[in-house]
Amino acid sequence: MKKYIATLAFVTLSFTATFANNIANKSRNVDERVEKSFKKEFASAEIESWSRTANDLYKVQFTLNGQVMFAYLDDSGKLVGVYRNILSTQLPISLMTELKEQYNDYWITTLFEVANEGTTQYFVTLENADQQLVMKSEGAHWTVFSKNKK
Amino acid sequence: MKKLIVIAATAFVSLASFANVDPITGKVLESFRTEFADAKNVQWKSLDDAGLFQATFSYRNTELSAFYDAEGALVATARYIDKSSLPIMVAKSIQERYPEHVMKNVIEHIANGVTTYHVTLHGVKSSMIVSATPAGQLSIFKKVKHKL
Repeated sequence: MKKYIATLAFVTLSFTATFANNIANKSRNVDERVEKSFKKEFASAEIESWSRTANDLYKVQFTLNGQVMFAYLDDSGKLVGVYRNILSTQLPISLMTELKEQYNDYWITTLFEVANEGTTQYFVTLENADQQLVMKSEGAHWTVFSKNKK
Repeated sequence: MKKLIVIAATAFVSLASFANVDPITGKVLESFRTEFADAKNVQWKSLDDAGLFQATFSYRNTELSAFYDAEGALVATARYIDKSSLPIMVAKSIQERYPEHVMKNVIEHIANGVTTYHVTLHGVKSSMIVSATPAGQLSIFKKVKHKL
């Protein structure tokens, strides 16, 4: 499970803006098994588009309860995970407070919630003039996921 | 400790009446000021049966309640949040399990680093408070059947 979350986070962080091969609008060219699996999992979702990530996962953009979300599925239709971009005010209070108190000299460039059946985690990318930090939530606290000097 | 956490959650969810306490002194106040230095408009209440003290206050643009025991230990925090702040799996589980119910109040409750969401659901036949883990596991906290 941890492996899936890490993979999903990596995929999301790396390819959110650059994923290639937009394979279809709506359900065209999507394996029937995959589409069926998604619709079973998210019965009331409105599908916006399907695409294929660089590491061979299906990515579907959809709207649920008025919110835009993204789900990753493998070729067998297994749901690898689902994520949505959120505002810092939508974080649990403990995570929001820790960000504001301990990283107040950074700005947030991305913030998203990743979920699958067993876990919900938050990932935030923070930047200042010198470095980029990617943090992930562990319960009520943040831990460093990756750190890069600019 | 577990009993105190449940009492804190129950107190916040049920909006039970408390005695107003003024002023709070000693360990509790010291602990509160350390934890929530920027708190504004603080109001204290005591939950006599449990020996807890509840502070309700504005903190970083949100209304927050904090529960302390007599030794000044922070037992739990709770606040109302918007439905859109519910984790994906919580919103999904509730919608799947209770499609006929309308989501009203949502409370985020944190104790011992564990977050629980208490969601009030209203339906034609019943209303209830459902508790959820961030991963979307649901349990009924309280249920009231409506007379038809």
